[in-house]
Amino acid sequence: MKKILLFTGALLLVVAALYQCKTKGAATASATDAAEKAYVAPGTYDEFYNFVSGGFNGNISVYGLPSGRLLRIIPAFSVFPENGYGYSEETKAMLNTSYGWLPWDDQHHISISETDGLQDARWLFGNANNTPRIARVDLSTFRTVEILEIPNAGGNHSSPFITENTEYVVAGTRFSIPMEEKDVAIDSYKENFKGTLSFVSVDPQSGRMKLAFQVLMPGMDFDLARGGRGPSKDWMFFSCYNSEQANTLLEVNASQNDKDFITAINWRKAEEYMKAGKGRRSTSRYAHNTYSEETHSATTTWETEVLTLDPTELKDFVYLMPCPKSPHGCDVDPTGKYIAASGKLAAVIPVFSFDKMLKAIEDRAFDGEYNGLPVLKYDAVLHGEVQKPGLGPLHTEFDANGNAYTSMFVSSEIVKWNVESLEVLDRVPTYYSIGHLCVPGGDTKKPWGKYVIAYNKITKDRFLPTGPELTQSAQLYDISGDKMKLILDFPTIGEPHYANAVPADMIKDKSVKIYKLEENQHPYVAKGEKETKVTRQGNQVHVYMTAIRSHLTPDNIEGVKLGDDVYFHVTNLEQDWDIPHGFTIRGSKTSEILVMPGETQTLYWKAEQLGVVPFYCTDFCSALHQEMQGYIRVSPAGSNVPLKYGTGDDMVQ
Amino acid sequence: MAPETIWCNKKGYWFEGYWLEGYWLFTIRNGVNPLTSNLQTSDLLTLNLLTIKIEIMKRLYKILMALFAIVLAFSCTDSAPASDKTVDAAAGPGQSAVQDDQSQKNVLQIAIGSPNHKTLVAAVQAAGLVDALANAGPFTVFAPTDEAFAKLPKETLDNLMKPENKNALSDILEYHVYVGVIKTDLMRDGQKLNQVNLKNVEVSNKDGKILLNGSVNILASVPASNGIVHVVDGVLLPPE
Repeated sequence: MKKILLFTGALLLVVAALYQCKTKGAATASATDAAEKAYVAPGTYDEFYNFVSGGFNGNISVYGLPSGRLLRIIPAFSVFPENGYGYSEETKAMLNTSYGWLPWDDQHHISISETDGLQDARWLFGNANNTPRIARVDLSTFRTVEILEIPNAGGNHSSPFITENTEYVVAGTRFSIPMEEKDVAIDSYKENFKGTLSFVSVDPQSGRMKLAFQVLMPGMDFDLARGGRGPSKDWMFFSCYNSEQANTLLEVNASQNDKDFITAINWRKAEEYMKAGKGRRSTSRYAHNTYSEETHSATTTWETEVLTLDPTELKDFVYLMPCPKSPHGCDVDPTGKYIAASGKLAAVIPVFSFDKMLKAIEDRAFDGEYNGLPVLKYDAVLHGEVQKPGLGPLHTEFDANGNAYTSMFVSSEIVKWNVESLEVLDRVPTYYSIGHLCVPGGDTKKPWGKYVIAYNKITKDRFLPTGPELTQSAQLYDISGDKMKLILDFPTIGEPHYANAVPADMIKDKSVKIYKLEENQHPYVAKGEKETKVTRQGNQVHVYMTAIRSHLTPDNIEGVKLGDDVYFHVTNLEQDWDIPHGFTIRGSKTSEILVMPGETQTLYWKAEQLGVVPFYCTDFCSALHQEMQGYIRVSPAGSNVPLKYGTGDDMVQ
Repeated sequence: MAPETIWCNKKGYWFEGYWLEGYWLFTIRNGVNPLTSNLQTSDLLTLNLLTIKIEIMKRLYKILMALFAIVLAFSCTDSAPASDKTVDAAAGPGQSAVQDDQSQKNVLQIAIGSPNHKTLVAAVQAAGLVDALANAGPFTVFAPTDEAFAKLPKETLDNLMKPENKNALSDILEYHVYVGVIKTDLMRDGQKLNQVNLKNVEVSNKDGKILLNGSVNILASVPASNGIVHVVDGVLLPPE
């Protein structure tokens, strides 16, 4: 007996010693097992690309999973001085809106394009939450190639969720507003404010977006959305809150009703109305920016046409499902049979049945109307409620085995439950206060599963402190077994909201390595050093410059006069993977430009001081990178210094 | 798995037990534990894995205590002294354990720091809500005083504290929390506050006199980093 006691005591001591050395106890993962699972050996690739919205940095970041390594930031709605996005003459137009040129936005959610409810990973869509827009990123170049502004909207939060074949990407307004930008009293909300749910069609070949129609809804806040799939593929589901139609102190006033709604829209039927010429056509000016990989330039087209479908007039395509307490997430399971809504203030997760919804519509099982729209009976559409799942449910993702994973902000955990039985199966803490979560392909018919990633809102002590401003904290959990297992913490930039992941093989082999020089149709391209020149048109000086290891042509320029507007059009002549050249000049009031092989980008510079001004390549391109430099001479306005340029002895005059 | 803390008091020593990855881990703390003094020893000790009996512990604890001190002193050269190492007794495995002496106190810390909320804190602990209340919230917490809890039949309270009644206890505690900050000047007559457990608390405000559910008074209001604590003189019982 004594031996046992001593053994026990010794064991306790060992455990105590181990425990005391860890500051976070159970918050730390079992080290060896986790390391093995998250380990990606040097020189080998991650299994997944993880595309993560950047929140308030306005851009989209790409991480590898399971390593958590940051691979890339894709600029979309915010300027990115690192590569000149939004600063170069070619990319400025991407940020045009009807409100003017905007350098920033708040990027919340992403969608990966799908065919038949499965990722095809051709494009990625991202929303701008502040000034309503949708961006399309080409996943062969990881570049934003299109941004469409959404008119008649007050904050594009409920976006960019897609239908099963990427027929449409939606944009639901978070804030309802008076239509036609009318000047009305704010407290006339109930009378004057409306919400729009926009359906943007996507060309199946080119991906080009077009605002197809807007569904006019009663004034409310629209939060999130999901497209149906399989049996529900013709439907789109939007969560909405503030059915109280409060216009002030929503913290209290938008929580008065016991239930808000999930709005179910039969977009196929709406499409029929559109094709039949129904609806109201109106005019609104909104920007449509596209980027051409041929001219390496963006252009803005000003769109004007809007088609509005009013569901109080055009019947039978919009239904409201009552949903407890300010629903946030509105997530369709892989079978397309269930919609999990998360009342963020609710202590239950209601799960709606698509079959029951159809039946309720057929049976006219209505619980009255809300602003002229039919409200279905809660019990008639409910599959069931997940009881006591945790506190503050926000979002739900799914695996391929009939399980759902819901993020719980207030109780700071992920809760795994079975979609059919609604039984809670497992829960793990997150560090801390999880917002969105992602199961690779968790929004498709066949989730890839394997991991769930928590994107947390609070970091506090999770990493080494860096003053008041901290990185964001993500956790990676292995979900291959019955129990979720924490295997990695990784820091993320911006503020991640929704994210998704795509198997590496679907993207890596189609990734573009260089732009072909012979296909470059930039109006100021110089496809070889012989094509370089400097021309003057009044006060404008255009420098057709080339960059190749390790010189710029021309690297001596004279004859520029004080007050001239100088455009450096730099073509990178390299046709070699990962040999970009950068360019900047002293006193530049814009960012550098980073020019990919075969590409042309333009830096604008105004000659504001006399003298000889140095410029250079900003990307360490070669052994003689430091030699890659030049001068431009700025003479007085009335000077007779001739325009002269060149590299080496061949100065052209 | 999250460590669950258990306590037992033998011969004036407080044992603090954590369930950690399959082991009970004990530390010994001198003096009384003010937060859990309402808990009965008999409720607490169910040591399974190693079938350690408290009688055995009685004989061994002095030796263990001494060895513990040595181990703790030498095992972690980069950590704080062992006596300070044991985090806040009310802390859970998550956000409530964050060490931060610069920030304003959160609703949980305010309750812990109050001499009149021992029962509430013990209940919050028993219901496993400590980390939730250390969350960003924001929360409006109606915090019944110990006197308010004492108005409940003793049996009711004892029953609620039993592990098998954790759900009922959580329900009552969640009925005391609103997600959002409602200062008294925002409380309107006839207002409904839909609490975390989804049940409403009715507010009445007659000429500035605020009552909750017709009978509960707000004695004081303390702003917190993540919301506000209204000290109340009665326990709010959720409507059936």
